[in-house]
Amino acid sequence: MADTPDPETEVLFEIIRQRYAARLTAEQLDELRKIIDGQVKAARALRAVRLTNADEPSQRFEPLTLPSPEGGRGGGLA
Amino acid sequence: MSAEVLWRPVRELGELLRSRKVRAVELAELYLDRLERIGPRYNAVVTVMRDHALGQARRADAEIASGRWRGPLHGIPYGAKDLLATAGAPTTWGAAPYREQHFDFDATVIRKLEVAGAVLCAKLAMIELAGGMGYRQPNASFTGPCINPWAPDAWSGGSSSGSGAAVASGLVPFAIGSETWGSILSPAGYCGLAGLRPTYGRVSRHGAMALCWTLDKLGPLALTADDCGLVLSAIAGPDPADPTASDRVYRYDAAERRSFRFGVLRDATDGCEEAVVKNFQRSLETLRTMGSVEEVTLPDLPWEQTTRIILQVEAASAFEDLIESGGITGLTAPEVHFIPYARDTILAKDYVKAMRVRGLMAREADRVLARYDALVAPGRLNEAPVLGQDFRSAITATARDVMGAVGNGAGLPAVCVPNGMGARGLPTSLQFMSRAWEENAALAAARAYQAMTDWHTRHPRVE
Repeated sequence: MADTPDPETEVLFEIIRQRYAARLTAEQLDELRKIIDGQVKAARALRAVRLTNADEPSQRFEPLTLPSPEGGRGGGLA
Repeated sequence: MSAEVLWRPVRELGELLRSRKVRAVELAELYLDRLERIGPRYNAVVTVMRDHALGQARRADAEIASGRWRGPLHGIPYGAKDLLATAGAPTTWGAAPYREQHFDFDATVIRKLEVAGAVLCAKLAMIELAGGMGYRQPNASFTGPCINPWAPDAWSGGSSSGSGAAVASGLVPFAIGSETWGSILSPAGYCGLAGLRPTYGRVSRHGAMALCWTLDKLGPLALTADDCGLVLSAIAGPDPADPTASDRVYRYDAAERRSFRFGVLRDATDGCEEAVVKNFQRSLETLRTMGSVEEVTLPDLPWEQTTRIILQVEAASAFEDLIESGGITGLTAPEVHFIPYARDTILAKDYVKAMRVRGLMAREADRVLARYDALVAPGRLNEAPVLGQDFRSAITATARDVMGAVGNGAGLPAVCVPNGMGARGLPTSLQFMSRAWEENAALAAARAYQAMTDWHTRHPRVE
């Protein structure tokens, strides 16, 4: 019996089909559907991890002030 | 001359140079000749930098003769993975669409090695775009599949493919590679070398091709763990051009240590080839003579899924233009002509979740690692894959690699060294992974292991 298509996979696959189908063969599209299904399963494993509100992304952003061409105090971009 | 110096570790070559028993120009000529003559056999080299190398070597000889010795890398030839910008030579990223690309500056790592007196002899082959598009087989570089010096039908590993093949075949005494997930440990392991993946942020990435901003690391491949420490000492350190390069000072500690605490993950050998398991068990017996070995368990977290999502999303963003324009069809591996499109469907919320889980991963990994000098595991699950066939990989979710997912996801250092031969006569490897910023612990353990074994003294028949 064939596996029932995963609805989330199918919706996401449709994005790819809309964007890129003209460039792709049927075999490549089929392969992409399988890859997307794997990504969906990986995302579910991630979503199942319970975090607290204090768990920030492990990613640093630093506001910066560029030096002004005249050498005075820099002015940041808006 | 050749027999005197070939296969000598960097530390010994440095001493020969310092004492003027060997001249840097002689050494450069020996390796340049090998790069030109033997390099093509393995598809290991993109550009030989003869004139540049001889200029640096002449300068090294003059400085050493005048008593200005810069340190153990002074006059030592090396090769750089062709994702490091170098003025005066193309920087191809291993990919046909970029084969004419030139930069007018040197990557920070190249500059630091110049300051240390090392002699850049060649830009070395690599998997196109460092493998970030999801390649599945070795023929994924415009220079052809990189051949393992141990067997003509085997791959050298990737994505620092030429860095592995070149050191293993005696074309350079050491090379610089990069790792996002596995790209130093894989070629080092498959080619029977020592490879060091530094802590994320230990080495500036300025001038290196960006694949994944939060995962990319640069590090050495060499004949011994000791050599890796010498090279790390030269390339580590802060860099105003790379805000992720840490201000922490790194000093290589080469002092001998006698007692270690090792942890082994309960499922460390799951999915490994029989010879890999056998060699790892034998390695554990050796490690028990150096200290304690305890079985450990990591908490149940989606380690591989987390690191994989981060890699897939960042790589898709780094090469968004190439992917969306359809320019990926200019790449060599046919599978990457379409695989990257799938990444358009990874939700932003899931990437941010992965970055949040990553913090949890880092804390949990450190809780475990804090009890040990290193976690040990097989460096690879198998001997080098056969050319012309798909291989299994954690990045494409066709193999397990919890150590790689933890190590790269949490930015932890690891050293791999050869620990035996497999059923096909190719090297197998052992990895030591330590806490963040504790490369010296992993290096000390790897050095102690190499002092008790002779796998690193065996070399493929190249001539």
